[in-house]
Amino acid sequence: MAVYSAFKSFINPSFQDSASFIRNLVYQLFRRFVIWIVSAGSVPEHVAIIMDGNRRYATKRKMKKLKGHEFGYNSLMHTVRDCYELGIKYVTVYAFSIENFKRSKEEVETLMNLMQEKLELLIEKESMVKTYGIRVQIMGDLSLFPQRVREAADRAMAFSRNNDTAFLNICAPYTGTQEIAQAVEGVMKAGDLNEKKISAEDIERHLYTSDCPEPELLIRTSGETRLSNFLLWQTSFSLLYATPILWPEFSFRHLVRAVLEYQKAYPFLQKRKDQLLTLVPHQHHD
Amino acid sequence: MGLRGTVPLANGFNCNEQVQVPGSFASVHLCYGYSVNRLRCQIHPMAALKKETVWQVFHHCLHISGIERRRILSVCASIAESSIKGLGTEEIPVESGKEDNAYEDPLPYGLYPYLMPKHVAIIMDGNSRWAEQRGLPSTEGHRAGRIALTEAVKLSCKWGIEILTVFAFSTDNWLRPKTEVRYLMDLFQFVLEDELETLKRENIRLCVIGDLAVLTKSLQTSIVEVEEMTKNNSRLNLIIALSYSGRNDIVQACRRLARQVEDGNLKSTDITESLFEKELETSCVGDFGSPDLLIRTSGEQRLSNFLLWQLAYTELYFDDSFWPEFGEAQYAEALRSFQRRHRRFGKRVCNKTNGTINF
Repeated sequence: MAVYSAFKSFINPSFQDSASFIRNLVYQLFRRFVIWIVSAGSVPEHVAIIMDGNRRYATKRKMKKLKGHEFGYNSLMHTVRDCYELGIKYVTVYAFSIENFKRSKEEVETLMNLMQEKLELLIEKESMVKTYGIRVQIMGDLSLFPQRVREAADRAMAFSRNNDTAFLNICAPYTGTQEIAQAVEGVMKAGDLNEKKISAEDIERHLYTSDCPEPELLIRTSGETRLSNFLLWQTSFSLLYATPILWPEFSFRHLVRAVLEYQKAYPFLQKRKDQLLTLVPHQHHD
Repeated sequence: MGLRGTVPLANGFNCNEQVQVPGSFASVHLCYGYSVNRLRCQIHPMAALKKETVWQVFHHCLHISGIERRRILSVCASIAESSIKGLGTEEIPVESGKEDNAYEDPLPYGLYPYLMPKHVAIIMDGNSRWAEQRGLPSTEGHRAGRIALTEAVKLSCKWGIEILTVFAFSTDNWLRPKTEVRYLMDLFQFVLEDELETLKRENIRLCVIGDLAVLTKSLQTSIVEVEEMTKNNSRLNLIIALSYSGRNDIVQACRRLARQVEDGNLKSTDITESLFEKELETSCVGDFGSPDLLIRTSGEQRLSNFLLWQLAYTELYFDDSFWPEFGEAQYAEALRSFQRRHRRFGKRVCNKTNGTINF
């Protein structure tokens, strides 16, 4: 049956098929053009995203609220792909906060199931992890997750351990304060407790993001402007970009807009970085 | 579209609670009308009331609505049934009441007193750019910034904000030209000495956080002196972040805990988030070291290493005006934006209409 309909469309292509084919082609070409333009300026090496607005999206579309998280996952996958195509090497996303455990049992259960399912999808043969050479890291206090999710997370991390082209950090279950507290504990345990020797670098070494550069851009969707306990240490100099778009609606053009905002602020950020590196007083504006 | 709910009023009374008027058989209940400056007063029972009793009732309304604390512009009396002879719905303007307490001044339009943030933090950015825009040297910008700060402190007192934290000087600012840094240090010293009387009079407590060891000895002495003299004041806690860096704050808290572990008073496995929070420099205000609202002027959308741990759930507000231009209008707009927001702290808040407002 499939062969017959394929043969039929080849002999007699409908107007609609060819129209959508051309539309697709034009879109792909336009997309490549935009990527080429944007990459001419500076593109952030590390982008952090707070994915907010799944439930509101589901309410807006008159669906069951928990279905919104499925759409959120799809949005995550194509945003991650867009980031890598733009040349953003590190992507960190806020998937689940430790505070979210206080939500209703039903929602937490759904989210656990979703997380397990999607983590297992990541290690399939044709997944994006293989295509883009992504190293997946699950950051957070994994002991708070049920056993099955923890095992899926370990498998996903083990599967992608040798990749180094791109990096995807999934923060779950995570809070910035817990990360800093466990880093402090790590510094204590590391031995040399001479208090004068403890420095910012020691703490950074024990953070979950120790092998990543700091995020230059933090995107928060659904219009709220707050950090919600995400990457508190690492975002001290990042550009905070809040957009009213809900996370499942976040698409390529919104990402481009965020990167353009970053490029607008870039000269100032770069000047600051140079100053701090050279430690020579400059005449600058502020 | 008035507000409903068991919102606390004054003297232990609540909005929507039916309260007997002493000396009469009437009882009243107040509910917010169309704006915070209007209270609707409903009188029960519907029996005929003499005009004198109505005035008695209104005075009681003023008493339970907290007229000593905030000036209610008008109390609108609505008599539910028209069986009251000779009386209808009247708006009776209220007299201004005692002026000696600044809390009586009304909040700007659209601000609700029970939604005011307890702790506001401000990154005072844009002095140099403001001065450059006007062709003035940056020192003039800082001087204008000082005036804006005085105004912000006055407004915070007036509007009932309990803690105000301001970012005066960051560790990165040491990299600025030496003349500017020297001017700023002199300015801080001058302001401390100049404003001491005002702080004492207005009952404001001053705390200075940051790496004070790198400051000049005279400035350090002035700071300690002013902190000591104002430590018992309670109307407003003014925290000035001088030579401060959020990361250094966390590092110094880590060092303090390391000292405790070294001394054997603490095990490294006992370190929890709340224990850590107590060691941060903002613990001078106890448990309220985390701001509810952060305002950054001059349009930059960054935290610039200010209060990192404490900003976990803070609402961020970015204003495009430069700091010397930040006045009552901008401050009120920032507070309005804060009051419109829906804070969840990671959980879900159910807004059931059972008479309670959750925020």
